[in-house]
Amino acid sequence: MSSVLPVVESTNPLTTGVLDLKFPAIAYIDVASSFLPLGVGLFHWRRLAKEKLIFFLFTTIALITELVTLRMALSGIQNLWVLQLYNLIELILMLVVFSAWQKRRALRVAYWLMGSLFIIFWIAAKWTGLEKFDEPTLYTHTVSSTILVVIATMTLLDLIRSEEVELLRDMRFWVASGALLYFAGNIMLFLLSGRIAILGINDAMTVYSIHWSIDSVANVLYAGAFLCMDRQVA
Amino acid sequence: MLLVGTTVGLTLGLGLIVSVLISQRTKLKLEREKLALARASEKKYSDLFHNVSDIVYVHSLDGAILQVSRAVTRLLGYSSEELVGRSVREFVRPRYREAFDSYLRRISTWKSGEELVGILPLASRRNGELYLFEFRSSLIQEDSRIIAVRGIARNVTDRMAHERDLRRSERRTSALLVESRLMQDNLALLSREILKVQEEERLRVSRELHDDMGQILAAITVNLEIVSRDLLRDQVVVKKRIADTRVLIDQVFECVRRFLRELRPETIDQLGLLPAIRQYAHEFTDRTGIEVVLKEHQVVEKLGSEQKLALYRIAQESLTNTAKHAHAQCVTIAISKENHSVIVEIQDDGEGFDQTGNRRPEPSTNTHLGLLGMRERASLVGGEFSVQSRKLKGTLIRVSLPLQEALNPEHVAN
Repeated sequence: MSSVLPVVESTNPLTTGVLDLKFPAIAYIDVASSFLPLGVGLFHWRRLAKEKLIFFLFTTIALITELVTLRMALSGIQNLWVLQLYNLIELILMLVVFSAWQKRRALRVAYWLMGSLFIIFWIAAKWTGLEKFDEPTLYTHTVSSTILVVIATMTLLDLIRSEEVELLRDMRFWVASGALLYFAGNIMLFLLSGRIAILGINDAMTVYSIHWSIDSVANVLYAGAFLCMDRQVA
Repeated sequence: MLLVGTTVGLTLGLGLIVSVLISQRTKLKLEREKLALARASEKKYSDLFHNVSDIVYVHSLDGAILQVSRAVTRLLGYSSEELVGRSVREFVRPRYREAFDSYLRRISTWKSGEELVGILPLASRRNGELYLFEFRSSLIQEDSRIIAVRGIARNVTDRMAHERDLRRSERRTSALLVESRLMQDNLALLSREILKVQEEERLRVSRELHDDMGQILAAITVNLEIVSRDLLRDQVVVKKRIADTRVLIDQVFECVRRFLRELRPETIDQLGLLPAIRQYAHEFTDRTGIEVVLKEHQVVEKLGSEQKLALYRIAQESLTNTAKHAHAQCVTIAISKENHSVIVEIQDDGEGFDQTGNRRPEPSTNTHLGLLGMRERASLVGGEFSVQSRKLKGTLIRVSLPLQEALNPEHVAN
């Protein structure tokens, strides 16, 4: 969910430590929207338990990552290693949340198998130098996004079959919808992040505007998830 | 490429979300419709449950009331709300609690679809009176597991009282029937005795008349003959008186003979039944002017003497009734044989009487008694008697007597 413009030391003009970098309004809206799920989650803090608490933790980490990477970008500090780490944490936390909602044991095992394979892939990518810490999350984020798109889709399909009828009051729907939109909309961006990183600042801003827009929508959906806290999720 | 990829990803994602929403909305709509139907059904069930006149109940396996219809208020004075959660046992008098416990124990051995029926007295809160309730309980099962018992309790206090009265009444009626049969048997015995005594008396009187009065009248006639022969020729007036007296004596003779025939027609024994009936019919026509047509059959002579006498008496009584009440012109006496019976039908063309309706019988009490007497006579000799009559259509009397050889020993003994 972290969406701040990655700063690549060698290629991006920002690496020179320019502090007068100007972001479009949507970037600030996106940052502001990141506070939304956190705020709503805090409002319902006493009712948070199990997977809801983990999801709250995820939104909190996402916000912190957002703020940290923004600060780093504005300071012209290379922030890609933060995003690399965040990428791993994001997948693990989302897997915990989605597997908690999955009633079928086989699918839960499948989730964790995919998660385990991803972790191996992530470590291998770093180990072999396929995707270093100071490089964009080109492969790992694309893979993790694909995994999360699949899992979010499975969750939504489960909801169709579920006897639970009031979908808009169901936390799973909001979280799965947010995750689906965010990762499905950003897969291509993650896949091409290597190229985007070497674009000029204006082009990069344009591309990232799409990302920020999607992220804002996802944040709103995540906030909606915390509004459904009264409902007991099976 | 980025734009295309992002657009495709977003479109697919949004498409899926929208599909889920539409699907859920459709499902929700269906669920709401089902819910509405379920609520309507529940309301109907509730209305039915609470509006039946009997108490409808659901109780747990240990006898706790889970649901009870409002009829319980009307029948026992408790509100259904205050009963829910309490044990049925609380409302059962101590002496019947063992029976109730036994009922609860039986639940575990009950089979699905089986119905347990029993009577349990319950006290009303209103007046403390005990009412008898007939319980019909059956099991409620879920996944082959017994979860509760449901049933209907009907107040059968009045029904049981009526049944008790009915049984008592049946016993009384049965006793009366036995008594009535006994009385009927006694009456038949008495009738037989009366008829027997009557015949004996007639025989005695006829003998007295024949032996005494006949002899006396004969002696008077002889004496008058002697006196008449000894009288002088000029005593014409006296002779005429004597001749008149002899005529009178002949008339008395004839009178006595007829009386004797009526009392005990010796012709039956001497000449047979047919000549006796023929003679009586002839005299009847002379006396009443009513024509008698006799269709004879010799089979009648095969009857026993008692049967012949009975048949003669029945014919005599029938003709007497016809002369007295029927205003008939003609009477037909038809004798025939049917299997092993002799059938005698006496049909007149008189006014008849109405056998139907409440005005039965129209003829006088004497005639009615006469009919009863005929029936009794026929019965005494093992025969059957019937009478058919319609207003202005005449009367038919039918007697069926079994032939002597067909009579069983019991009838012969009688």
